[in-house]
Amino acid sequence: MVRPITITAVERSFAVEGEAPVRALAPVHLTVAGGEFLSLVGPSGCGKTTLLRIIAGLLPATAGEVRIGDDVVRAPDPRVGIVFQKPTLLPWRSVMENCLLPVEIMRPFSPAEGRERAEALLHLTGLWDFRDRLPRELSGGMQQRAAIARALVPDPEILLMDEPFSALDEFTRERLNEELLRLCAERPKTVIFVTHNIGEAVFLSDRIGVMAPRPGRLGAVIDLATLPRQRDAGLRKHPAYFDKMAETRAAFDELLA
Amino acid sequence: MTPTERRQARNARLVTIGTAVVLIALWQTAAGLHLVSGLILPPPMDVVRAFRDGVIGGMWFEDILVTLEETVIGFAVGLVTALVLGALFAYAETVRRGLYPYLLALQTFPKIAIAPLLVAWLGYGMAPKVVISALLAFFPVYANTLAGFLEIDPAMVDLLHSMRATRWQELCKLRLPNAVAFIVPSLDVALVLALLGAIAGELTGATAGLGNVITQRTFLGDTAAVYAVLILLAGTGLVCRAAINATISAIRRFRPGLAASVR
Repeated sequence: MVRPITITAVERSFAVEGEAPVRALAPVHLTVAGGEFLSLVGPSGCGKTTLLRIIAGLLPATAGEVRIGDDVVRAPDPRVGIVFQKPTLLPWRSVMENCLLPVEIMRPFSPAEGRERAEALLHLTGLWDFRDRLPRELSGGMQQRAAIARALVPDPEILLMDEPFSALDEFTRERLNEELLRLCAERPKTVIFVTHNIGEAVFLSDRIGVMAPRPGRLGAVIDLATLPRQRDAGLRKHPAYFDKMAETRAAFDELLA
Repeated sequence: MTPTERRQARNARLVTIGTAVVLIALWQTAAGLHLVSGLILPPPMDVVRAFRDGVIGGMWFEDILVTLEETVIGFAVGLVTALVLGALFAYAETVRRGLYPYLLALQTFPKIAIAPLLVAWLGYGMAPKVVISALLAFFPVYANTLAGFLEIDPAMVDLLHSMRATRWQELCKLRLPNAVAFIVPSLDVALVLALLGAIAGELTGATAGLGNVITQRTFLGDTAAVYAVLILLAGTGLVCRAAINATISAIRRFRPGLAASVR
């Protein structure tokens, strides 16, 4: 059972010495259905990473609350996996050992089962032949793949991704977008995906939350249910894809006006 | 290697050898023609003879052992103290901040200056040498240990928090391995400083050790022997470096990743 995420009046301010607190996030209301893929899109400073960190339990909200199912998030939830902007692989561990880190720390299942899952995910991400390599021996795209594999090893119910592909070139990004959908289909899960790339958000998501800065806030939520269900490279040439990109851009223009 | 690189490497080697040849020739000329007093600059062959008698002949065998022992014990004491204090202070922020002025004062203080006092307190034996040696070896390791525990990519700390890692897991899986990469490069500096401390202590007052040999032979006007000891010390420093490099290679073989960020 994949639980929904309910975000109620979540806001966040940062204290600044000698000045009024800076409002990073104006109250956000949002419900993400279980199994949904939701992207948060917006320019720098729109609070999308802040919101993601609050959902992850890494940052407390100044007001409001996030619920996963019926549980209020107060600390990181072991059923939530995170992929950061940087691969954040431990440089002294091989790819395989990095993937086993969550198993060692959280013990979601026996070491043998954990190993089996890590092996399966390394096969799925095409990293099997590189399992004994150190992170620095891998390209940026491969490092981020390893980070995704690591996040998926404990079979999280929710996957939070913070601009995971922003450092990659366009071609690698597109390939990894397709791969990500394939990986997410492996087991049902909810994904919240932060990006500043509209095309990426339209390609991946069921819905897009459009965010704006000063103060960081959530504007329109765009529903992509009308897009073809088949999300592969062909979608990027589909007229509906361009329509939705235009609709998202229009939502930005309205929000920033 | 491209032909250009090969030529460059060969020329660099020529510079190395050429420098030695020129220096020794100048030395031989100056000493041979008595341009400089033999008390200041003994002829190269005298130094070679002194080296042969002292080192290969075993006359200084005892002294070499004493200096090495002081260096190794001083290094070990400084290293262990630095690792323990560095790790403790990384966690005890209040204590670290409170004691910082004293540590800074001790760090900037020319520690060799307290050698006579230490000899007066602890006698002519090994103890004062070990203390100075340990004091000198302490700081580079302490500073790097502290940095190794504290300078961690915040995203990695977030990663472990997101997995609900305990403080103990965070220490074992993240901070310790991270610290190793910082500590290892400080070891060769610390070892060379430990040797410096031992020699400085011996120069102040000792009954054995290479520093003692230097003092004694200088008094006797046996400058050739002093030169021989200096050459031996230069060699010892290089051996210390090689020992640390061998340790790094061993770590690298044992755990390739652990030394990933080391040099």
